[in-house]
Amino acid sequence: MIFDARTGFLFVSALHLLIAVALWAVLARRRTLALDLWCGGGAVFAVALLLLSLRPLLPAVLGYTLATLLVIVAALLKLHAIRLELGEPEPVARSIALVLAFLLLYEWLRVDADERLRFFVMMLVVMLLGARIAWSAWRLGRRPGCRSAYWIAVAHGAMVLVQAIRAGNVALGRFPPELMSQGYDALMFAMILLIAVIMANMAWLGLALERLVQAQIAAAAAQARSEETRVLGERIAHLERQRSLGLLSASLGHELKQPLTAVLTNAQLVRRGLAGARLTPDQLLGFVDRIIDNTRRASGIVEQIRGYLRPGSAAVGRVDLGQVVREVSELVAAEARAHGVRLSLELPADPVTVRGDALQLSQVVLNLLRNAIEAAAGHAAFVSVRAVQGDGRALLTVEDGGPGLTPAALQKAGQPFFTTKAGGLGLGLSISRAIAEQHGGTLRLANAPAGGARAELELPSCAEPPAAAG
Amino acid sequence: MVAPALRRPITADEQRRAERCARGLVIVIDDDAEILAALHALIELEGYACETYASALAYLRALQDGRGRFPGPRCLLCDVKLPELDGLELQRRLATLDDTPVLLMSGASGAPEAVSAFRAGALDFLIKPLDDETLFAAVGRALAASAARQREQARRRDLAARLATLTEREREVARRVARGERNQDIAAALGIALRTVKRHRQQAMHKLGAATLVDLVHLLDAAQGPGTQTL
Repeated sequence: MIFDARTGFLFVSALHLLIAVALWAVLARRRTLALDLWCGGGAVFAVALLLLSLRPLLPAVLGYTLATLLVIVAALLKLHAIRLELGEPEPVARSIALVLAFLLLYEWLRVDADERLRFFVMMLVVMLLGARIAWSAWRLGRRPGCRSAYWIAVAHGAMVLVQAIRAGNVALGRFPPELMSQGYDALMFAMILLIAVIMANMAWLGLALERLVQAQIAAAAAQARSEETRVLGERIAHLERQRSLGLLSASLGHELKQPLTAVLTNAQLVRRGLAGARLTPDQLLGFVDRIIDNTRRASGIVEQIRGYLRPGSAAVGRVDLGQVVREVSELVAAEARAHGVRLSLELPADPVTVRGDALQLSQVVLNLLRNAIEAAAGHAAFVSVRAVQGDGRALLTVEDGGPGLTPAALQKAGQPFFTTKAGGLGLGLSISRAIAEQHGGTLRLANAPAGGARAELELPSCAEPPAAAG
Repeated sequence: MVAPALRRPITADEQRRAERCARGLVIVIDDDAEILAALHALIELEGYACETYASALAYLRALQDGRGRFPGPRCLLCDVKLPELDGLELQRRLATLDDTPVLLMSGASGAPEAVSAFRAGALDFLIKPLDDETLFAAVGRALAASAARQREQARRRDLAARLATLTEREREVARRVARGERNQDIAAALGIALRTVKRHRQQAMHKLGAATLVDLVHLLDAAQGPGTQTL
């Protein structure tokens, strides 16, 4: 006796269990159903091998029926695992039917028929399942990034080969139809089982690692893409801001001339007053104060234009939507005047706080106000802006007295490059919508009951921390 | 405001205001309160009266209320860009109401704006920021124009009043004389005596204050000018 098959099988059984548990533990953090099935199959196979190796010590129903059944179940579990990985899941009902049919046939053969037939039937089923596993694994291995599956195919193919040799030997009468025989082919059988279990499980681990690397590469690529999109989006938004300010420049020039006119007139007043000593010092001081105030007003306008044109890098913080509306309405005040449009603001006294980038939000507001002013010009020439806060949401409504939007325009408005204006780019609203969505909000367009267009910007509000009492 | 009592002593304020108005009243319309305040102070400093309005509509309302004003020349200084009713439109509407000269001002030096302003009859077009010398030169011209128009109007009113004192016959005779018809022809045409024609003619010249025949022709020409009732 060169080899005790029982010892070998016992050893292989322990190894199967160990590897199955170890593999499951290693990959537990990214476990899938396929992994569970695969490792479950390994564990079941380990139990089957244990029963097989202890066959002489156990009742026949455990050593034969249950052991063989577990071998089939283990093979089926592994087949299911591979087919899941392949993306072509095996029908569960078919497997159950197969198990039941095999159990009936095996029991019938064990009780009534001869031992050799039973052995061949069992070997045939095991070999067919093994071949199916090997074939599925081979197909999986052909996929990009799944090359490790080839080794699963090789391991199972080798097992099928060894089983075939065994079946051949039994057929030729060289060995008894008994798995637990003593001799070189039992040694070979055990060795192959040993190598196959290591190879197949290593391959499975490799498959998982390949997947992991690929997922990381894909994630990195996606991040790079989104970063690129963000930078591009910021650049486009910046260009759009420049463009809209360019369109406003004529009226902004006018806006700037108002305080300058006041400054100049007051300065001339002071000079005339001083020249003829016709004004009291108190009066003169009053006029000088007007000069100071109006100079500040002019520089404030310049500051706002410059702030609006700074290249946008998202600076997220708490933003008072009411303040944004007030500042932007100063930018468009001249435009409104030029179109003879009355701009009315209804803002709550308390700040309407949202979380976001003030610059981007002011771009949205500027866009909405400009659209509304253009729409209202020549019609019922008013634009009303309301901001309210409540229920964790901040809502900004811009309504104009224009003709409203046609159903077709309503549907298309906000799509890039759709515009109803001659010379428009059709980007303003789509950029605004993108900004609203980046802030976790929405931008809706509708027609107001009165007939004009109504834009609603809804953002998650950032509730003020409760003011300290007393 | 309380309706003024029928007979009321004139206050010192009103006295001063009347004096200013006699020099000239500048009505400023601009939607910027700072500019209004500064122009108001500057114009009053120069001894003119000044009224300010934040919008063209406010001025039109005040005009319709027909608040009494002290007599004197007046002009309008109005921004082109105003909410609701802009300066050009106001000028168009005013042209049908009264003949106050209009000065337009604008922050933009847009040629089309200036062209339509002059076409609508603006006396001058000032670019903001306003230079005080330019402003007062323009205001001076506008007030002079206003004074001339008012004098002309007063003369026409006076003439119309005098014409109204003529009898039907005197008016007919005066008209024919001014047309160059001879006394004999007039007597023949009207079927009256030559002496009667001469008497009507003298009576008419006396009532109209015309010393010579040339004066009479001039007066009747002026009376037939635009804006007055024809004979």
